[in-house]
Amino acid sequence: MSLYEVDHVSRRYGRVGAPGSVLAVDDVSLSVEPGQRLGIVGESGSGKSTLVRIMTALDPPTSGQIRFGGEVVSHRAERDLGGLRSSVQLVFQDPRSSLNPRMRVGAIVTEPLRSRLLRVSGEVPTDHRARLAEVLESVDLPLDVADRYPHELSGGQRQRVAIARALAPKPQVLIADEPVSALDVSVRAQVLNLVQDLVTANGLTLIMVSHDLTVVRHVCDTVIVMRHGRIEEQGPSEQVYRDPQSAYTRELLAAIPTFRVT
Amino acid sequence: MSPLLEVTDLRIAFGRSRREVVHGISFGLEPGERLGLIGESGSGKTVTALAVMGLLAENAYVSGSIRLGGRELVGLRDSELAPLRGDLMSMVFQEPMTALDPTMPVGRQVAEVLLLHQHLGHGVARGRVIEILAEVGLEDPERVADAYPHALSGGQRQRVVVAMALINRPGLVICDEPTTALDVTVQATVLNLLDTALDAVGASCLFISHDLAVVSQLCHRVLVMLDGEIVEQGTMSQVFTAPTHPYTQGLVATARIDAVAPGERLPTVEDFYARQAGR
Repeated sequence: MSLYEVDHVSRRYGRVGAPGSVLAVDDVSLSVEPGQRLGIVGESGSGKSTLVRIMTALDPPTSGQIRFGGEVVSHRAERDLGGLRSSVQLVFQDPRSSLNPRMRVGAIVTEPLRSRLLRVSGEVPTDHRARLAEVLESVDLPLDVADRYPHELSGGQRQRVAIARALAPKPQVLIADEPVSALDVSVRAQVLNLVQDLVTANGLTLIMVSHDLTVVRHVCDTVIVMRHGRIEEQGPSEQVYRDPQSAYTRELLAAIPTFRVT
Repeated sequence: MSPLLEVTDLRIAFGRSRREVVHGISFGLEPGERLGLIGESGSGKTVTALAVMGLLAENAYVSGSIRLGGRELVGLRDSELAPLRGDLMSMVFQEPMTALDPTMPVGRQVAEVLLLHQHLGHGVARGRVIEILAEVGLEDPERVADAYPHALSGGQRQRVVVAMALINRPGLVICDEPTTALDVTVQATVLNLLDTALDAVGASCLFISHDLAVVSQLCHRVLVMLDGEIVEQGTMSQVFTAPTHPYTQGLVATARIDAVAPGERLPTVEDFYARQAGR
C-alpha cells in the first residue's frame, strides 16, 4: 500500500474569475511508497511548496483528496491529525526564520515532543533529555549547543538543529523544502550528506523540494518536475536528469550554473 | 595601464575593541576587468565591498589604501564620497526587494540616480530611464517605469537594480551576490544580462559570491577570501584546475555535485581544509 496518495488535488487561491485568483496546484495525482525518496522540482510559483503544504495538511485542497497510510487527511480537524503530525516532519528553507530566535536549541528540538497532539499518538519518545541527546548526536552537533540560541550558530549548524527537531518525534516521513538553498555552497554538501545518512539510518521516506535538479538527482530516486501547478514530467531521477523529455526540464537543467572556464 | 581600483593592505575593524575582520588584503582591478570575490558567510567579502563604496557603519575602522582611478578613498568624508557613489562606482545588492523603495515607482528611482549626478530636465531624464530599462532587457519599459516594485517579478526587480547601477556608466560596478535570491532560470538570464550590460558600458566589475560556478559565468580572475584574508588568487582556469590552498581545493570539489555518483557521499570542504578549533 502506498504511504501517501494524492488524488486529483487542486488548490486555488481567491475565487474563480476574481482578479489575482491563482490556480497554484492544478489536478495533481501522485503516490509515495514507504522508503521512497521523491524529489519535487520547479521554479518559484510552480506550485511545489503549495503541494507540500497540502500534503502536510497545513493548507486544504480546493478539490481532491490526500490519504496518508490509507486515511484521508485533507479537510480534517486539527485534533484528528495527531498521526499525521507525528509521522510527517518538515525542514524548511531558511533556518533563521524556521527556528524561534527566543528559544534555546534544546527547547526547540524537544518542542514537538511536548505537543499534546503528538503525545496522544503513542510512539513519540517520552524521555525528552535522552531523545535530545540522541538527535543532536545524530546530526553531529555537540550536546552543549542545547543551551545556545539560534543566532549563536552558523547557517549550517542552524539547519542541523532544524533537522534534529524534525527527527525528534521519530517520524516516518521527512519533508525538506529547499533545505540547502539558503546555505553557502561550502556547507551545502555537508547538509546533503547528513540528510542522506539520516534517511538511510532511520529508514525514512523522503520528499525533497528543490529548484536544483542536480541536488535532487543526487539524493532522490524519483523526481517530479512541476510547472504552473501541473506535473510536467516524472520518472526515475537519473533518467530525467540524463534524458529529459520535456523542453521545460531541459531548460531547468541548462540554467544550473556550471564551470565555464574561458 | 594603471589599475582602476587598487586596494593595498586594507584592514577593517569594528567597535570599541577594534576587532579586526579584514587583515590587510591587497588586490587590483584593471579597467574593464571582472574580478570574482569568493568566500563563505563571514569571510569579509561584503565588508570589503562596503569599504570600497564607503558604506561601512560608523563603528568601522578602515586603514590601508583604496584608490579609485588614482584617487585615495580611505579617509574621505562622506560628503566627498557621496558624489562618487552611483556615478564613478555603483553597487548591485543581493535582495532587490530591499534595495528598491517600495513606495516609489521604479522609473522615478532610476531617474533619481541620474538626477543626483547630472543636471537634466525631467523629460530628458525620463527618456534616458526608458532607454536603460529597455537595455537591461525589460519588455514594455514605459509600463515598468510606472510600476511599483511589488508589481514586478524578482527577475524584473533585479534588472531594475542593474539599470540603476549602470545608468551613469560608472567605471566600477560591485555586485554583491546579485543572483542568490533568484530562481535558477532567472539567475541564468540575469547573469547573461550582466555579461552584456557590463561590456556595453565598459565597466569593471567586482563580483561577490559564495558560488564558484556562478562566478565562472562572468569573471576572468578570482580572489578567494577566508577569515579576512585572501588565500588564493588567479585566473578562473588556474583556480579551478589547479587550486593550491586546501580551502580552495575543497570549494572546487564541493561545487561539483554532478560529478559525484548519485547517493555517494559528497566531498566537503572539511575533507580538504580543517579549521583550527574554536572557530
